[in-house]
Amino acid sequence: MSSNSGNNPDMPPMAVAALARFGDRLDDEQREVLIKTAVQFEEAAGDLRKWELTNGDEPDTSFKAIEGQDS
Amino acid sequence: MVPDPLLGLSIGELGAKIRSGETSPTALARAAIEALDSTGRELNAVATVMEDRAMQAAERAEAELASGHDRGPLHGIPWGAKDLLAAVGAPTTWGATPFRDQVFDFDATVVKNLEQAGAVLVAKLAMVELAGGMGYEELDAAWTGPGRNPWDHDSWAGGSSSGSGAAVAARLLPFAIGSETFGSIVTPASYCGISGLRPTYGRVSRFGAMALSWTLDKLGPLARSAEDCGLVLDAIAGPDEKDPTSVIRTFHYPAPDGRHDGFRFAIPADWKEGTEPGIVDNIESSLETLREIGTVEEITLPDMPSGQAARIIIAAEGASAFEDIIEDGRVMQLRAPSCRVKPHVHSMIPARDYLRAMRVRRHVSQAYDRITAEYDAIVGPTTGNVSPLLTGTLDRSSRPTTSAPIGAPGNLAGLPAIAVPNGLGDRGMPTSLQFTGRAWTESRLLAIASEYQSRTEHHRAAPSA
Repeated sequence: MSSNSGNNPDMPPMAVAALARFGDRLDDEQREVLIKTAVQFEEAAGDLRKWELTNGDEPDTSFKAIEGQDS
Repeated sequence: MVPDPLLGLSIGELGAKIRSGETSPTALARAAIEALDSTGRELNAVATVMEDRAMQAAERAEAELASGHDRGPLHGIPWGAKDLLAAVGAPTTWGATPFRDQVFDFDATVVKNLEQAGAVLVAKLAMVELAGGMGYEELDAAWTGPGRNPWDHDSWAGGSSSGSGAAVAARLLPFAIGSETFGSIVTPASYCGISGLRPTYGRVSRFGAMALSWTLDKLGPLARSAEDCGLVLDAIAGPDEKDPTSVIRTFHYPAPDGRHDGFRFAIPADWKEGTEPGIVDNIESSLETLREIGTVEEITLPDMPSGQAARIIIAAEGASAFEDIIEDGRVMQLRAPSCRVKPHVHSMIPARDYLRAMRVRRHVSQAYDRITAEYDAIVGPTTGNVSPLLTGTLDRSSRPTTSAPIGAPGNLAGLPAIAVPNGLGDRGMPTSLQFTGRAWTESRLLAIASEYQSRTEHHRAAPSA
């Protein structure tokens, strides 16, 4: 992986952004790990997009465990 | 140095010996300090031994008990705190080099509550750096070095509550407090052959604890029996105005109307997938025991992207919690090479991906509330493998806690779980049985686990390494 790999159009956008901002502190081996990590997160996000959501599905931004009965 | 055998007793047994005069809080604190300073350091289980604070607390406990002021079952019992809990008298390093000199001038609520119960804080215990939130793959991922397993020093103690698991398993302390965002209590409990309780999200205040993922972090006990976990949870549970996620609910152990049988258990149909043969054998044996106290039904769990949602939530929240060290480059001081790289990606997770994960999360919580409402507990292996050798790495595509069928959705939905030892597997290493229940059913899970332990001896097995 060359040090200008941030210009690869096939690279995940997260990797492009991370390399643009932090690439100077990483060596080539670390850049490869970074790109691999970004691919994994893209895949995870892709899996989530397969889960059908409607406009009314709100995020759990004030998350609490569902109220059950103490026992 | 061989630890004082007294430290291998249960909380109840130690309490009886303190009150009969066979031992004392100061003698126990001294024994624990010596054990942690020798065996504990060999295991890389110790961040800081807190000798001054421990001896002062032990002397106070001794005087109180002598004067008839009895604070209850934890009075005079030594314990250790995962090094992400703020405590006066020692640095709070979060397991990470950039924070090795960090000092707080207050106690975390959990530390305060245990002090109120008379327990004696003896040490800050080692942990995976930043509770593993930077995506560690290497098992040597703490400034204290790799967490060694008391059953085999060349194997891993588990993470991220490594020192908490190892110190309790090695009989250096009767109990410890750990934290779990995604498997960090139940995994070391499983690998080290002890009991570990992950409370319902919101049951225990996290004020003064390092934040990794605000919507997933939980604090809970690691001890040698379910009963001891219950006694500790009794002391630390409850609302706290300093933690807005803590919930106003009462918890008392033991529950006055605790059941002993008639339980309804479910086991996921695919639980054997990715599970080592030795663990399969031990779980099948455990199921036979559980059939003595209830019924066991096979169920099919919904196919939901729980692991993916948890991964994105933890990474995004962790990147926010540690934005300062990612931005200024201190993240490059972390021990594990993978932790020096991955946070840069975590900080670029789009808001829409995080929000989608939180939207999916609501579906997961609702689905698993419906499932857990039907049963007293979902059972299965805590981890699909025994503790790996330290020469190995974590394969993120098959992490131990995600190989347990309900690990990811259980954490995502904030459900309680208890892990208990159920035998030995590959290489003579401990295996573990996990009970996961509906939110707020810790009392029932503890009753089940205690009943299981009353019929088996696995929780009494001690490492000889």
